[in-house]
Amino acid sequence: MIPSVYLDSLMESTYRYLTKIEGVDDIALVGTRVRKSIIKFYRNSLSSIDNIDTSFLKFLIGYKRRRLVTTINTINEDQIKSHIESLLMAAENIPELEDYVPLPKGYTDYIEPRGIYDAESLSIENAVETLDNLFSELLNQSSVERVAGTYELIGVKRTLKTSGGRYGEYSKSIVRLNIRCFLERGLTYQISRIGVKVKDLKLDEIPEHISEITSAMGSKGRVTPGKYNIVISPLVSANLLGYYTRFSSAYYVDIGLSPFIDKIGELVASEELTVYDDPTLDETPVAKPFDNEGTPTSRTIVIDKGRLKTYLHNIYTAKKYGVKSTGHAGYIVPEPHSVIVNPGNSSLNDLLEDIGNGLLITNVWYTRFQNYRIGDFSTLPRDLIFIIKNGDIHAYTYNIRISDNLVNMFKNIISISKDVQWVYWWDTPYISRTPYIAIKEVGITVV
Amino acid sequence: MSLEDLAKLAIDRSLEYDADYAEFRHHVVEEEVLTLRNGVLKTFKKVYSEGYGVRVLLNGVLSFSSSNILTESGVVDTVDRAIKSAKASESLINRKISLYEEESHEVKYLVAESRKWENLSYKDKLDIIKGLDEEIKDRLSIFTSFTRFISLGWRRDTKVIANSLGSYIQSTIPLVWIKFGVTITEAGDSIQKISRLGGSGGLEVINNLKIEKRILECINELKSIFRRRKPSPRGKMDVVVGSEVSGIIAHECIGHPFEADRILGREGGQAGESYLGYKCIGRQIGSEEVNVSDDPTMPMSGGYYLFDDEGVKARKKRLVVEGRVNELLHNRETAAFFQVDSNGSARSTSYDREPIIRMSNTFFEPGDYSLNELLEDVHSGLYIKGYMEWNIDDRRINQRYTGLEAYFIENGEIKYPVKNPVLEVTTEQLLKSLDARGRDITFYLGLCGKGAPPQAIPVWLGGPTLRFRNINVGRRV
Repeated sequence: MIPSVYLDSLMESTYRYLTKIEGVDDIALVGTRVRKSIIKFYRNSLSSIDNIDTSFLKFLIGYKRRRLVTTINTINEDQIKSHIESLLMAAENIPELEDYVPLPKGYTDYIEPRGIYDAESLSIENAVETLDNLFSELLNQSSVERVAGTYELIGVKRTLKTSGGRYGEYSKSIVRLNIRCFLERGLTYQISRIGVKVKDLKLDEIPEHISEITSAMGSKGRVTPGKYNIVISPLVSANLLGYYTRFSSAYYVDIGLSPFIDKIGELVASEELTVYDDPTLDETPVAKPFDNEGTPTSRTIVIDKGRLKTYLHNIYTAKKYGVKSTGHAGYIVPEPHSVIVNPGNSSLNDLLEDIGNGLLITNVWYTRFQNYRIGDFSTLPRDLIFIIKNGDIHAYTYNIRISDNLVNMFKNIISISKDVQWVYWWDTPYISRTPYIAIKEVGITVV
Repeated sequence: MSLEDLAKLAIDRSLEYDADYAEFRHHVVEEEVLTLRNGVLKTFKKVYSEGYGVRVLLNGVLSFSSSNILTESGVVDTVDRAIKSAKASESLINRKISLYEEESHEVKYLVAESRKWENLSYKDKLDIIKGLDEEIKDRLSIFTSFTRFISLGWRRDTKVIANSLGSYIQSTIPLVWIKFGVTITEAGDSIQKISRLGGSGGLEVINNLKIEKRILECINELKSIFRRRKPSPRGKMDVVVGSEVSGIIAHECIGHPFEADRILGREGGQAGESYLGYKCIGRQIGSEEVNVSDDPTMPMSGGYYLFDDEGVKARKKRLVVEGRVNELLHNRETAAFFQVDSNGSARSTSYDREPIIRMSNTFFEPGDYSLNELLEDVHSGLYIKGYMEWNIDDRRINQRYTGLEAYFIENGEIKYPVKNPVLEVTTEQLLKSLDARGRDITFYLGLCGKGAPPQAIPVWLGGPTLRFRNINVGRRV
């Protein structure tokens, strides 16, 4: 477990201080200690190693029917008290909320997912040895010219205490590998793996996977702008469905930055697609027994066979919609803890056969919206893009862009793979377990 | 122990371990944000972050360690972690890192605030955005459906940077901004705009940068064009872009690829690399009208600073002069590699992030033309004032900007608004087609993302109105 002497002391003194202040009716205090090491590398060599050790408090104060939200990243108790004083002074000058919602009361027994902490996986010495071996194996392949990326070892301890009588704590470990292989002919391929333990990353499979990918590359091909059937990789699914799931936050719905306004119960995707959030899963990096308000987390189906089932709520947004909190506080913005897609029945080869002719896209970045309200967006495929002919990889291509409407795209899903992968890359909104997805008639532009 | 003593302890202890270089940065970030959602203040957010980072160079390994335990034992532990990590990861080094040695500086500077954030009551702060929100609501009331949000935000970075070269630099930089978003929906159509305006200083920034006026002008324009927009023409044509678009172009296809760490490949696994190679100085990348600078010393700017987070004196960098690569953005590491002086481009967003190369205020230098002069010999083309959607590939070649406030131009006159014209071009196509620059210059506040873990840092984006000849325009499909 992660030691947290400073954090425990801060939690206790801050909570005690807050309870003595007249007018403070609600307190939800979340303390977090993060110990993180990041090994950064490029051109097959270390660029730097970062070590972060930080303890911070996030809390919600219900003060005279106002919701005050703050993050304090310091261990100086005097500073914390002065920060709280100025927060309360500010509150005196801002209007109370007509629809103020008190924090839930009553003891709750949080169920901590099993197998979410492995100290051994956080050793820098072991990580260096692992990377050394991986670099050697990858660079032994003639098609791999160089590698760049990060290897992250993260230990998190999170503690909750609320004025409603709730208390919880847990520690978890996260290991994350992001490695980009620079291949012959100026091509690149990205690998992203995340887990609780090093063995979750299945590092021994990576060299073979790269070998298979590079032997399939074929020759260079060009495509013209138009509508294409495409297959997107788990990494691409995680990017696009990350944004899509974020749209279900009641916050974004309320401020007009979501295509899901007034869409509960309606089809927002193909019936093939079921997306849920599940921080209760054992042995996964998304494990989180409680949200920031002390609501126990649970499996939340967001899109059920294509239909939008719920918005994501904290207690405040939930009241407005006449429902219970879904356990996604975010004091201001309810957010998914994870994005998990129900696997389908097909193999990747089946999906390629399903699309017949089209494109296989392995990674995207820079997903940007022209209008969040309707879902018009574009995103840039990067790393390998394959041209598919008659269900087989025919060639690779470049300089294309997906330009479409996200709602229409997910309504056009043809099939989903049974293979799902835990991924979380630099440009992935949430830790995700996602499949390959075949989609018909997607807008592609070319420069 | 005082901060100065803790800094000395960190540096001395690192040198005792035979570090070639040691750096201590104490960094406090304070933030406050008041947000109205559809006219109602739902929450008030306040953030305080204080800690320090220690960076050492030991046997060619760069190691960074951070903590918020501001005690003697905390500093000792933080230095020891940096040293231990450097030693543990030595086997991964194929190229030893060296750092450019800057002269030392002992400096204290701050950005003056004539209307200090703390001196204005929260009621008065709230009144600023309430007044604006009412005005926005009034203007949009002709539409059947609209939503809006508006935030007033403040951030203050207070830093002490000390290093083994003898520098001790103290700075305080406050920043005030207003961000707004509106969505109008009617008869199956919708238009949406999100923008952020602001700069360094106190609340006087709002008046000095005419932020309220600019926001209301933007709302008026959305109101005026929404129902009248026609499909955009397609094909090759002349395109005049406003300062919001010229700013994002300068940022994305010149600023980022001129970051020397990208050229080295240091961001290769994340934010990508560059179309520029190691030997790029003097390379012609655009027409002679392409003159782009990055200047952190501009008063009241979003990316203001006078010394970077490696203790190097900041200055204006003329990145492109008459279409040729003139200078890159450097930190100490890339300066040593390229055998030039660091030009002070390293910044970090908080104590627990290593300093990396960042843009500050990046813009096309203004020219001599008025807007009318830029438009007058456009026979058939577009005037794209603002945008929403944009993106660019990881080598900064294939880029796209989708216009929002955009108009069809015929015989030099603005005819009617058009819907979502798409500039989707390569850097070469774009920069070679630039033929004239306006004498106007306007800036927008942006948060630029880079690094692992990500660091979103304030910058100014903006510039003059620009005219591009005969470039490809598409439509959203």
